[in-house]
Amino acid sequence: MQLKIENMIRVITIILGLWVLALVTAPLLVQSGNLFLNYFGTAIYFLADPVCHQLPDRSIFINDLPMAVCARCFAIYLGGFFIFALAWIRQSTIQWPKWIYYVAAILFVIEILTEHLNLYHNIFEIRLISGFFLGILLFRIILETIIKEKVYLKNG
Amino acid sequence: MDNRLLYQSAIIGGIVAALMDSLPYIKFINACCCLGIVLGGFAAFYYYRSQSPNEPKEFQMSGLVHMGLLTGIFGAIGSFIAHYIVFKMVGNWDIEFLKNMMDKLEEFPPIWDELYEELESGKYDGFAGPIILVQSLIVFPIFTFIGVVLGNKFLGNAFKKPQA
Repeated sequence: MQLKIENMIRVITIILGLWVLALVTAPLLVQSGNLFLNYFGTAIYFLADPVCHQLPDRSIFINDLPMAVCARCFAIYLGGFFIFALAWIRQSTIQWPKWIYYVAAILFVIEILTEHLNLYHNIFEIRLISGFFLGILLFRIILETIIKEKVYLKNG
Repeated sequence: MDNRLLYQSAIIGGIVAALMDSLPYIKFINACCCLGIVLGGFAAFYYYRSQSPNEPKEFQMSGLVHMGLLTGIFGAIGSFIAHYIVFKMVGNWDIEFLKNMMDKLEEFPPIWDELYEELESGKYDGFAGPIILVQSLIVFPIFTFIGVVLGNKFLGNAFKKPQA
């Protein structure tokens, strides 16, 4: 059963890795001359449509086309991939204290509010950094649920 | 897990997710990483936990996956129905909104030129039901599952009565 849980972490890591790769390659696929690749790229944009606003002024451009999700969303998935890949390599069962999540949520709300109050405008680096940490935290919660299961099964 | 309660929770969560995805303007909350759909999963977990505070076992991964997927499927079907009702009442308001927004942009990338022309052509004036259903059936279960996991993390013990 323990093997199954470790496999689950591996599968999620691979899925997240493929999703991040798909997001990066979508603009390239759409612009490729090949009809099949073109459809494949369009399908990635289509799948990402309900997930993100896809506003070009908030997106990273690859080959003159915006990515299928905005910079923050991309960083969230990248953060998720990072934390799962780390769990795959390190196989740690330590749980993070809850206050980390609350502090991060407060910082995230402050970041969004300060932008809405026009204290700064659309700084890509801030979006990428906050998205990356948000991704780490969000996917860490999923990871901890899986880890908890591992501990639970181990203890019977 | 109490199956009857599980289905009730999934239906309630599904309705929340469906409304969050289909109501005009409220649906924009989903631009933030499908927050509305995640809320549906969270609502499903909240309802289940509030109705079974003394359930002895902690939620296991299989239970969370079960609840998340069920909520997502109910949500996707609900979203399809709600989208149809909204379409009948106010038409394709989001296409109009997108066109208005694009009109206000000073410049947009090359691919948007073609998109704008397509939107103007009236090609998307009909109800995009099958597309909404396919898209929802893929996206909803993933994000309602995330909502259920978040609920488990933050509300896991919220309703437990102290043992005598």
